[in-house]
Amino acid sequence: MKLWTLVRNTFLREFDSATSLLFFAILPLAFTLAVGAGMRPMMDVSEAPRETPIPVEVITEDAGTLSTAFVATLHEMGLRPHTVLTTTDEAFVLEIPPDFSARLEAGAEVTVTLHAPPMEQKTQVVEQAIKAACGRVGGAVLIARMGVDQATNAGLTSTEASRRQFFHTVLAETLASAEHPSAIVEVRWSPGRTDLPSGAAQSSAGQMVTWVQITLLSVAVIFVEERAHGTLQRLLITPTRWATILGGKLLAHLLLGLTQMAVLIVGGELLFRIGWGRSPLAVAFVSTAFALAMLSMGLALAPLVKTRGQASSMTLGLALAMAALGGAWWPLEITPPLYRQVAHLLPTAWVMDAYVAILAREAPLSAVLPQIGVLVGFASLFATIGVGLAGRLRG
Amino acid sequence: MRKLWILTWKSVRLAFRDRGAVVMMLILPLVLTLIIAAAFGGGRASLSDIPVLVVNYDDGSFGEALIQALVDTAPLLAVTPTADEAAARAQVDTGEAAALVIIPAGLSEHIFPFATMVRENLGLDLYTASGDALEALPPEQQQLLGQLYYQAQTAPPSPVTVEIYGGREWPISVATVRGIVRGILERMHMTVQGVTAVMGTLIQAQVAAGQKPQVGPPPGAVTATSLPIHVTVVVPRGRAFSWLDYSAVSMALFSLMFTIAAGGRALLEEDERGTLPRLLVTPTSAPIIIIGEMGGIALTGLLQMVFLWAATTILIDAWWGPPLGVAPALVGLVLCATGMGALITAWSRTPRQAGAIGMAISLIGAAFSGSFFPRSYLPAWMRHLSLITPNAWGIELFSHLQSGATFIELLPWLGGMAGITALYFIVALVGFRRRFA
Repeated sequence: MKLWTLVRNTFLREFDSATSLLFFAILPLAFTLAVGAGMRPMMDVSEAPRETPIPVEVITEDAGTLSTAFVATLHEMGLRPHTVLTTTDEAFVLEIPPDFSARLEAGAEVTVTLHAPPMEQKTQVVEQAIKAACGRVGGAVLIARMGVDQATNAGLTSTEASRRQFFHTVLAETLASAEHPSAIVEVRWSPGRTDLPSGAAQSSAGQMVTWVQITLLSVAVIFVEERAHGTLQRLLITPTRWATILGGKLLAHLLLGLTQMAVLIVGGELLFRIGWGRSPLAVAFVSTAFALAMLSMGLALAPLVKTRGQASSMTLGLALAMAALGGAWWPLEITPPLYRQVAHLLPTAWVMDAYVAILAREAPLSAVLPQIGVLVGFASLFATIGVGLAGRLRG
Repeated sequence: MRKLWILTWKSVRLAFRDRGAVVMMLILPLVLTLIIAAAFGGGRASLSDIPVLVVNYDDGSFGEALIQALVDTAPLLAVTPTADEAAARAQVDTGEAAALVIIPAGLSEHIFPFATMVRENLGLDLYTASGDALEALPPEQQQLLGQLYYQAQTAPPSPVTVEIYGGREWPISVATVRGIVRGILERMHMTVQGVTAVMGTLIQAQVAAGQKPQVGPPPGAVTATSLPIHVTVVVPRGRAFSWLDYSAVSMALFSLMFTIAAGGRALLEEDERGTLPRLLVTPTSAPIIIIGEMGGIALTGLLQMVFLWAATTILIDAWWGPPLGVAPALVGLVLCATGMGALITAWSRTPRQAGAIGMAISLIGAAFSGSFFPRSYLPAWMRHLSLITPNAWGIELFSHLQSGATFIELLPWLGGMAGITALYFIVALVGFRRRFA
């Protein structure tokens, strides 16, 4: 009964104003929307042609065959080249040297220069597309040169005109062959959902981890506040055991965290069709294990801070830093190996591993048991520290 | 003036005495920037050591060449050849490996069908045959060679499929592997087709010259390192886009908004505790008190931003822009954020409400303005809508500064920010008048 009263009080306090709902559900869902939209370009790995090819201004005075072939290849690589005479700093500009064709025919190397607008975020995409065009045209040039050498050695191309003719014949045939590849690449995905997880899926899991951390670590703020206001001491002079008070507060926050997770999962499902419902048992166990780990961490932190302000700053700072480091803000797969190893010293990386497995390939409970085990391990460690230090909370 | 300074300095001292506030103002943005720098290798996304398995069913030389080319991409790919396809698929299924590249039987035959035909019909291995061996062929076999060449050219086999079995937890890595395999196969295909074109053209030239057609050794192979066309990327001014530069500014802005919101809440707490009403009964006018308090919040924000500018520049070589541009931009930005803080303070009923609304606006503003990823990744409607926040103006302004924009080019952004700052303060003024009437 006492336990139930403590739980009820915590919920009443938590939802005593409309702003509580803002932090509990509305802001996390708004973040899911914004971060998901921001991640979409990074997570979109479909092979569909780019809806809007990236425009590239081309400056060249070379009207030779190779220059023309090079510009034509840029089209195939997802760019929209158009020749200009003057340029601005606002656009991608590709400068092809005036002796581009002549130098390549003569056996020399050439360098094309991509002028990228400052702080332009598509520079890497454009650079890769130009490199692909260099690979195709450069490869054909190389082959044609080798052929010319062979023909010259065989005494078949004694004049400059015949060498040029031989070069261009081989070049044209080689470039044309690229249109009929002898091998194609096909990606088949491992079993799982029919669609690939989107930016919204990564964002839904990541934002849930971020916001629930704040809620659960905030148990430290509650303890510090109650100690400061003397309410904890007042409770202790009633015929209520310290264990009941501690247990009640922790249980209340655990339920609060799990309720928030449920709200965000349902909200994510309804608003963004994330696919949380495909392995419900795995989601439930992973979420509970993570909630226990974070709650225990909050308990361990509470005796270490003195004021409410310190507790608030520490919980918010820790939550944001652990979320960023643990792969809640961007997929861990794009980070360096050392970063990934360091990230796995935190519960957030393990819970994100489990959520990504669930969302990407509908991993069942058995597949995420290792992650659950690690999270329970974190929970035990923090709980041991927290309970050991809990005496300080009594003041 | 002295009163103003006393009030201003009091707010600054209170803010920097609070350890919790110092963590939020100075430590947290620095830590977040360092994390982002570590995640993205200081600038660009840094994919590396992608675990890739390869099963080779091809009995020709192109399968082996494909594996070697994949191995040569290290450290981007960490390639492990394996013979057990089922076990390799299981590794991808469990997320241990990002992808499995399955090189099909007959890849070499499809890439170089002429070689297969020659081996089957003449028992000659074109990959290893010397020019002398080809020249030594009897005339009828030379003729058959020509026929086989014609056949290979006119009826090429349908393309063979190289399967990439991709792990669903590694979508970005799988896309990278796909691009690499595709590039290698294209180079192989073009090499063979080019060599075939050379041989065909040679034979035609020999016939035209009245010589006996002779097929020499293949001229060589195209590798990624032997290409004669190179690309250099130059940025005319400023610096190329770097996550590190971007995040240093966006995280500083993110924390600036917290500082301003906390300052506003502190002002209302003074009102609630009665220190503000007590001040109002002294011979100090309400505007002086409000300006002094808001001045304190602005100065705290400015000191915070200057610290973060210096710290990120010295510690991680972040570039905010030329110092002569950064300094006035910081002042403008802090005033803009203070305007937003004043607006929240003026229209909130209680300190708790001001704190909650301030934090909500700070967080929402950061997310919708592109504090956590490049702003250009956001949909256009979100970019436009976010211009009601100081975060968006700040990110735009500093992006232009980082890109080396001239003063004239900065004017629209400075003007826009000045406009929204004025709007914040006007609405805040109405609220303060109502509150202290």
